[in-house]
Amino acid sequence: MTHALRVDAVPAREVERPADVADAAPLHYAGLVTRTIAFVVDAALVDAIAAALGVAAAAVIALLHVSDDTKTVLAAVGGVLFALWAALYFIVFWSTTGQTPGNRLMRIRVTRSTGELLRPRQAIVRLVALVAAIVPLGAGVVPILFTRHRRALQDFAAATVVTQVGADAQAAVARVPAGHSPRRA
Amino acid sequence: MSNPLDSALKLAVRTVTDGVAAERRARDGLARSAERRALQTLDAVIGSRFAAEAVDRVVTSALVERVLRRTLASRLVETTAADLVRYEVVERVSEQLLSAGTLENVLTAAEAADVPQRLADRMLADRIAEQVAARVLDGPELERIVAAALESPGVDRIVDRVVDSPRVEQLVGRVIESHLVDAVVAQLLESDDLWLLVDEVANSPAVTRAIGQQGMGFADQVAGVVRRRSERADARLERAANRLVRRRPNGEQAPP
Repeated sequence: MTHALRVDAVPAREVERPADVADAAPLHYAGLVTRTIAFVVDAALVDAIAAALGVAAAAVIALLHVSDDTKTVLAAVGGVLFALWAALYFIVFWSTTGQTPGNRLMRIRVTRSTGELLRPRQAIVRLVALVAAIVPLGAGVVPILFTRHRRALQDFAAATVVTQVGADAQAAVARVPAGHSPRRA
Repeated sequence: MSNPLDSALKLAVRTVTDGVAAERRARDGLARSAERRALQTLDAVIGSRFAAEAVDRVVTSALVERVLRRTLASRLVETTAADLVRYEVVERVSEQLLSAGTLENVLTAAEAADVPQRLADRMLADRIAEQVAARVLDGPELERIVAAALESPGVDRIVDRVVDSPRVEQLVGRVIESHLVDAVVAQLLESDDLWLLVDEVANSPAVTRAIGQQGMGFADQVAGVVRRRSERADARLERAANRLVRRRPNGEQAPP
């Protein structure tokens, strides 16, 4: 295992750009720090929206004088809704544009290793794998430091890569319609 | 003893002299009398209503108008002007007027007679001042004068002197320390028109677009800095990780 990691220890390989953002300039795979910042931005956004909705819901519930048992049930429902919201956030963005708002800020993009956008099922697999990678104190993302294409556990699980996007290509990505799955040139 | 011939000659000379003097006195008296009569006649002519009416008829006649028009249309004007210039008539007359003090006397008399005040009143009453101001503002002359003044180094000197003047500094300080500024600001803040203007400006598409672009530009700049630093951190972190892997005790060599 260690040997395999060292063999893959090639920093920032240049690859061909996907067809939807095709031009002559090569792309780089995104590193651990860049991806972590993008994820933190996304998490903050998800939490902020959820917190705002939660406060509004709590205010309404406070006016209704519901019982404690009902509050407990509502809290559980809120938890489920939060998990659903967070999952939908990543799944929708990954499978439609390949970029969450955090990714867009850091100008990185999640695609399949063939350059296509993720299918929803692939996005779900990637999200589950992402949780699995983070739970053991982030051990699942350590391979980014050593693998050839800077891939983490979720990338291996869903056969995806995270690439950097230039300013011009970023504008092209923003114009990609939802559901569009371009092929590599 | 005098000679009888000499006496006769002296008598003749005296007689002739007396005669000439008598003739001169008589001629002077006649001349003065003729002058008086002529002036009296002239006064009578000028004062008569016939003369006034004759003058009016002459002035209002088409003949005078035609004569004037033809005179002005002819080369007489140019010739006269050329002669005036050639013989320096204006300069000579001006020099004479100035050296004799005539102009000063005229100005003093005019001032004593309140001529400037009356002229100003008349101009204001006849709206001449407004017409002149409108003409100056509409015409290109004012623009040329302002442009020339702005390009002149004298304006810079004047502005420098005014700005550097301690008097102006004191004046500005007094204005700021006075209640005038506070009162003006208070009145402005109480004015509904001001807030209407502020709302109008704040809601104008140009302003909102400019603020949005500025905000987006700033955010993009910050994001760019974060991206560059994160990319450097990525490379640094991976170098450190690779060094760590190479130092493993099993001694395996990293690929080139």
